[in-house]
Amino acid sequence: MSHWLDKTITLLQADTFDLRELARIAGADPKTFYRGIRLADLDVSGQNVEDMEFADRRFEDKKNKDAQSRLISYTDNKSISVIEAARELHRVGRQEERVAILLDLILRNPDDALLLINLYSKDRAKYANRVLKQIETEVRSNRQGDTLFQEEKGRRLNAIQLARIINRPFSRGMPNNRAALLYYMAKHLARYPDINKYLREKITDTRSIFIVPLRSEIIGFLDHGDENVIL
Amino acid sequence: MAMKHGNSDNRRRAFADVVTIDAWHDAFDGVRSRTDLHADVVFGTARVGAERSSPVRFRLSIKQAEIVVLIPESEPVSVDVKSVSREAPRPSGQLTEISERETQNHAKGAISASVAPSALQASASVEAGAQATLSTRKKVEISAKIDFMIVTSSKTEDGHYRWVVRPGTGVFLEGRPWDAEKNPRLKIIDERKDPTKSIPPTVRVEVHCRREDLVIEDLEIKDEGVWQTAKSRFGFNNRMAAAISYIQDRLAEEGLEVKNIEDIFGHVTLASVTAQSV
Repeated sequence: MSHWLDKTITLLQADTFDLRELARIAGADPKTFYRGIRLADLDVSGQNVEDMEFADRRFEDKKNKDAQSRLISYTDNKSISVIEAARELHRVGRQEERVAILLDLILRNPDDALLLINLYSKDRAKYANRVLKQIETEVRSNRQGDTLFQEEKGRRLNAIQLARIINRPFSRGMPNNRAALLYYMAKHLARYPDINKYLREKITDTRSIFIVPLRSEIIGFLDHGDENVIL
Repeated sequence: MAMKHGNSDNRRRAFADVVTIDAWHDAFDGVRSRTDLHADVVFGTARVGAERSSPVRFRLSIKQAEIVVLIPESEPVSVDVKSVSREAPRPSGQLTEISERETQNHAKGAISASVAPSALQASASVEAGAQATLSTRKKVEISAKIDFMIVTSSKTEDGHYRWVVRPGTGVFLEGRPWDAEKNPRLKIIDERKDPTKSIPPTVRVEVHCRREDLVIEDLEIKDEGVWQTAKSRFGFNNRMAAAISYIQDRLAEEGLEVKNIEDIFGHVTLASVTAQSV
């Protein structure tokens, strides 16, 4: 005589703890079977749970979908979704340029800074990663007005605060990295007056052999930036 | 077949323990054409698996639910829109939280700064004394009114009035979301042309939830030896998750509005009653 709960014994005594296999034993679709279960409570080591739904992951999925649909200003004439922006950023070849573009995106879209950092998540290079962590810490600090229902926006950092943050890890790095950072900051950030001034001071002070060959180009960026100032 | 019915009955009984509902309105007697619709809903916890044939037992409760007033299109009855209960009274209590923390102040800077530069001697002694770390204990008492259940009114896709009930504190629903006598859900209007010659209209009240709103707790195998072995094996959490999900599936199947396996994540009907005419 069978009882409707007999299968639970089979599941609790199963030889496997593979979630897909257990769902199959239960006669259910692994994709939706664990919808009411938190992924954080399970042991998924060595298991591929990519396409499976969980109670806590659905919230994350929703957040990602929101982000995907939210448009941010990428250049003066182009708006793209935050996810696309993060993807574009990953495609840029040099870490110094990625960092400079990231800073530009944050300054263009201050309310989406945290979302952008969360989605960009990790850079493949050491200094850029330190910059990311530092920006995130600063943006998250001194938050105001967060409530349970309001989206976390984080603190707005001004141009010069950001410029200092990105300069810090590089200042301890190799001179060629520093030169490249200066170059790409001038290329992407010259139209922010505070940064423009900051970069001009830097380039005047330096005698770096890595910067000398780039100097005229950098000054060109800075002069051009003056014509397109953002106040 | 008899066993199948027995299983189904067990599941139905579980639902009856997690939610009971009574609905009523004054009779449409030909003279009265408007009346209050009352719905008394009580949420609780069901103990499932007590029968000897069940190999496991667990407690079942509901994370959140919706209470819907269903008026079939064919019924000659309408709702007075102004009468719909929009702000349900909330049974509430007082939550007091006391947190204690220790703050440490190094008083050196503050005190020495207040001493005039000419009084060097005095400054030195004050500074020395203030070197010690000052400790103060701060007690913060936070008091807030809490709601045991949060009720939000809205309409279903089909245009029926509904009240979504969520726990104010805790993880599942317990007790009554409102006083049924004092706070009717809405007023219904008898639309019959000749009330003396036709059957009075009827309305239904149902309680729905989603499959994942079925909370399964304290699931255990009744055989102690088997249970201890099962618990001690690596990967127990995953097996437990599968067992809970399986139970959710079977319970949801029992209360599915549409008997369609594709709709397993549709609404589960926990209770359904026709409002009594009293």
